[in-house]
Amino acid sequence: MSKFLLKISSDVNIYPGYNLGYILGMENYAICFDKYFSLDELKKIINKYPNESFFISLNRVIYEEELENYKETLKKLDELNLDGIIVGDLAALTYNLKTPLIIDQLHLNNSYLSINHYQNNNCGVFLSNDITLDEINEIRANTSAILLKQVFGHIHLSTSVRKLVTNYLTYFNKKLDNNTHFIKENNNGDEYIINEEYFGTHILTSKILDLFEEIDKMNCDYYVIDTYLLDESIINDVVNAYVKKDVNLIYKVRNNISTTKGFINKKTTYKVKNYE
Amino acid sequence: MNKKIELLAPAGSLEKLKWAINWGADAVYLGGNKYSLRANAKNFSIEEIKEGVLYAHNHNAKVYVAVNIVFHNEDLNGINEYLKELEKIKVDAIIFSDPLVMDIVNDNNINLELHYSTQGSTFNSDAALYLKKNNVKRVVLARECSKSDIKSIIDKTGLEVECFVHGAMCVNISGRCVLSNYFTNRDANRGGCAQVCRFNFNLYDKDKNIVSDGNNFSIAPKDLCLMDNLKDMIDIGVSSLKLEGRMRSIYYVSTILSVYRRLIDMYLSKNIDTDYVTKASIILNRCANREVKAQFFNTKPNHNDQYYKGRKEESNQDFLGIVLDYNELKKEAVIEQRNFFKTGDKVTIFSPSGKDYSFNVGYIKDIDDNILDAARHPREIIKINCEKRVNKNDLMRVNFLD
Repeated sequence: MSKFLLKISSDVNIYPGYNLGYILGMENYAICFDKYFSLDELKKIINKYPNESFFISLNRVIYEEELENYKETLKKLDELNLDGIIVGDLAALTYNLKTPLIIDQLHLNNSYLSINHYQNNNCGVFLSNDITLDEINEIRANTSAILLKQVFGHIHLSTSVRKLVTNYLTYFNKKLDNNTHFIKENNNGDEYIINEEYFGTHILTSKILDLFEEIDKMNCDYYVIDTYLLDESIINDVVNAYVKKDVNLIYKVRNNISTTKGFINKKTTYKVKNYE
Repeated sequence: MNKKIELLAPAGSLEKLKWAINWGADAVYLGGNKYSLRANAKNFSIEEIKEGVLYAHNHNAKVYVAVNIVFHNEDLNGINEYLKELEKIKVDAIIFSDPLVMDIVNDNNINLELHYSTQGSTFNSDAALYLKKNNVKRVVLARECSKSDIKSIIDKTGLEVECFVHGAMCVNISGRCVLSNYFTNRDANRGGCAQVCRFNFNLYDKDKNIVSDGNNFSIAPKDLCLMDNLKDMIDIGVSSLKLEGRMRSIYYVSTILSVYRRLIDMYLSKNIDTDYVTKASIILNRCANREVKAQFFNTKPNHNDQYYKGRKEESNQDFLGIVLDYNELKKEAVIEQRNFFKTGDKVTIFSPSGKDYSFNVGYIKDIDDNILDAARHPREIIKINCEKRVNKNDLMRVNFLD
């Protein structure tokens, strides 16, 4: 049976009794979370809610100099009886952890043979947002790996380890007064979020992925509601709309935001010549 | 004496492959018609790869084939057969990023050496060890790795490590960027990258007030150049120095190759020509047509390593022609012209041997020996005075060094 996973910034966002699990970002090793938790903070929340399921995310690449602490952190997390640890670096596959690992390389999990590689290492995967509903179902038909799929939230497009906005502002003798900015390109016309944090700079869609209608057509194990940079005021309605399949509520949510279906119903183009 | 380090060059076509090998590449990398990340390049058919491999092996060089897309289900059909074909024609290695490729090679005992692409963004030694366990022989490290990262990964894994040393680079973590997909509907990880990171944008704050001066916000990085760090790279044990640019011109690749070849050979022989090192820097800077930086090698890049609108670009009209023949009796070179030059101009003919020859153009004649005041027409065959013997496929450029 499928379950929803909610990225949370505090235990205020925990909904006891809901068919819901939670993803929390690990301090120093996760990206694209509004709040990162220390190990002690994580332990407190997990102990406070023994009946809830938790995934901890360390969804970024790891520098060589960070490896020792990274490994130690994973070993400690491995003792917390988590439902899964989400990782963005292949290094995690070498530590013989007993907790299921979920591979989240952001845009690299696009085919069932790739996913089966990780399944053979007892790992699940966070599916890419860059594939269609048909592709997801074909993957499901050809793998028994645990599959996570984002169904709501801004779509991640890129991560740079550079401070791209700060660099620009510094160059022109200006100061960064907020981590969140927007960019717009003349030909494209759409607006995108560009957000700096400790690790670097992320670009995300300004429009919010909303796959409410598509969930019943998919068969993933977990559907992720990604709250990163979302207005706090809509999260409760989004959770209730998705978990309770409340059509009226999702329409209410949509009245206040701009949404997109991403690539769920259309393929990205392969050959440039075909495209042109 | 340090061990021999490989100089690895891009081969955007069969012709460019031959040029690269003639100009000093120890190995070349190329893309086939399928499964390669440069869908818009003039990629190789299997027959062309076969011919390229033969040519390379006859010249003691190697050929690596990029099979480095991130596969979708629809791309899976035919990949086994393709890999077997590459094995059959004896390519020296494949460069891949999707783990399914190594599974297919391993599960089917396909005799292909595995090189893990920079698209996989390997930042550390444990990730590299995971790949080693899967029979990967070489890792092309993430361009974000520093000198100490690279050294540690080499020391801890014993793997061959390949590093980019020159050329354009992604501003984002490679493979984990789909800007192109969303801005242009072209799949970045399947060969369609539209290089959105080179676009200009308007930048707004959180309240949607414009922050940039018009659309001069850009995230484009300056190009990579590790010319000044070659000795370090050799000393820490890097196996292969990679030049970017399967889409680049013959002039660009030949020029960059000639410089790096000479510098590497100098460092390996410990016979440093400091005058040439200074000149090399000038040559590389002019050839790229973009500013270059060491990027992550010594320190994390800052605001000076990024481009904004209005970037400074030097002229790229330096390439004057290709030597087709030499008449010993008349002391005359036959040239296929590429850019305008005239009588009296100072030019340099440079060759794979590394010996440059600079002189003044005393006369220009057309193919029928009619005197011309200038060479105006691209690809026109002309003759010029040339006291010193030059060879077919030497290149002629503006003399910007004297």
